[in-house]
Amino acid sequence: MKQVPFERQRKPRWEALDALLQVPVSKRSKVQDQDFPGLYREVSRDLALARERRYSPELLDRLNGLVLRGHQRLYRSRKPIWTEGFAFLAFGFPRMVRARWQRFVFCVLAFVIPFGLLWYAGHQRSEWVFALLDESMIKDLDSMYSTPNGVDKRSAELGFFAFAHYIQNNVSIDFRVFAGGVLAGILALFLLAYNALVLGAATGYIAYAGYEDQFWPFVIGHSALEITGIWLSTLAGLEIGLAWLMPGRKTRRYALVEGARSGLLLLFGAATMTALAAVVEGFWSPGSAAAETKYWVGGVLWVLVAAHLGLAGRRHAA
Amino acid sequence: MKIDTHRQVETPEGLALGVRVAGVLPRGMALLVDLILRLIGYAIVFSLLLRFATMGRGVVALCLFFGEWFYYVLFEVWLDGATPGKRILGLKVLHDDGTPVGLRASLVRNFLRVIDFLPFAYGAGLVSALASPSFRRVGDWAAGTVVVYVDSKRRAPRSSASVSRPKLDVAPEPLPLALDAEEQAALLEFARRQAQWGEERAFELSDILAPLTHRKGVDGWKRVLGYAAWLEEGV
Repeated sequence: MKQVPFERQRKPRWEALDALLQVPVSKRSKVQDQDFPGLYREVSRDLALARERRYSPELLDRLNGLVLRGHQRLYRSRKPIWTEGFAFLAFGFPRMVRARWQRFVFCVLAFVIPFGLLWYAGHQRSEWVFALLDESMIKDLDSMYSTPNGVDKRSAELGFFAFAHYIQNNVSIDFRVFAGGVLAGILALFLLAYNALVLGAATGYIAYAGYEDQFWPFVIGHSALEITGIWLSTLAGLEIGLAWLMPGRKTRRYALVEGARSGLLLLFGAATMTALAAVVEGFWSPGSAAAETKYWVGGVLWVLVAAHLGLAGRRHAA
Repeated sequence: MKIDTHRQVETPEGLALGVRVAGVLPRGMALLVDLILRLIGYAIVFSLLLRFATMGRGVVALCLFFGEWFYYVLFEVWLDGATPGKRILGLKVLHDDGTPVGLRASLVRNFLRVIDFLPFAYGAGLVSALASPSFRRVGDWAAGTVVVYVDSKRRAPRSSASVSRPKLDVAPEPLPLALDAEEQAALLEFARRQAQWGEERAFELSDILAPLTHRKGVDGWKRVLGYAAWLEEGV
């Protein structure tokens, strides 16, 4: 068939598809929806025919644009994301972590060793802790923990500010650690170890200066969620970095995309923990409960986090 | 390496769709527009909220958090693959199979901006984009996305209406012999491009077919166009 009669014959259908695509997704009706796939495939076939018959580039361009828009409408993703979120956090997430337990242990060690070293240094009254703390940090630590009521005088308003601040600060660290993982995991591990060193130095300084009675009741409550959160975001970062470094039987590019997807799921879990930690840190930790109560709550949270990661989701097949 | 911004995506209908990937310059400009818009937004939020002491500072912290990490994601996922900056520059984000970008891919590509930004001002992203045929920065690689032009006409100036085939009143003329597809396409292309060259050049080209048309100059040219019209429209 020549081009002109072909155009004349098919044009109504192209215009119909064009008109259908002009309607925004939210305003379309059922009838239009039923028409759409058939119409789209018809025009797809027209494009293939037109190409095969070498019709003019203008026509091919026009049809290409039309089919491309149809393609994007037909194959847009419509997975319900939010309803899946909770089930994932409850069952899928701990399963994913357990499936990577060696890496997770590695992340824990990469944190605990530098942290422990500097804490121990402070405990032994070594000057080492000052290598990593600048004056403003020491001043902050002094003002917060030197007197018993330094951390206790927060109002609800201050609590909200603290919560917002920790969200911005700590969840951003999670995201950065995750992104840093893409460089073969190195930047993620570096950020983890660096944060461990600074936290270790701060904790060491607390021991050095003798503020422990004010410090531990304050931090124990949110420590489980916050520290586990940063371990897990490192695990998420390693997922991307190691995916393309050791692609197995996939191409590196495909492995990278897959690794980024599963890494993102791990990050979702990690960031949720960190956000929960910010809630605890903003509203519970500075509260006026007795030190003993706070130790109990903190301990129970550690046990719960460990139990969740270790036990949840075993019965749900992968 | 072939330097061409035209990419083909295969659809489940077995059809290869053409898209034009966007280069570094328009994307950089979109980035700049988005940055300016965000700064304006922050300025407004700050000036309104910082009056409310502690509470306000808390809200500001949350605004900064969501602005820096989720600005791109929100627009890309819920407003047709384009942030305001990309929209102004006529760009949008697609998965590399041509489908609209989804939440996960958008999160990955935008969180990895941290890496693309290194060592400063998107240095790594620039190197990565220039080194890859589809101008992908690190985030695009990991998310499996490309940034394309929304309107393919923008990038194909020759197919715009002003230079398309002028309406010549030439009567269709049957071809004296059968041409294969390649030759037919050449003839049609010749007719289509009349507006692009002067008369002499047109006659020079149509004279090549003198053994077929048995004419030279204007007459030969008209006859060649007649063949093309016959190929295109039938008798």
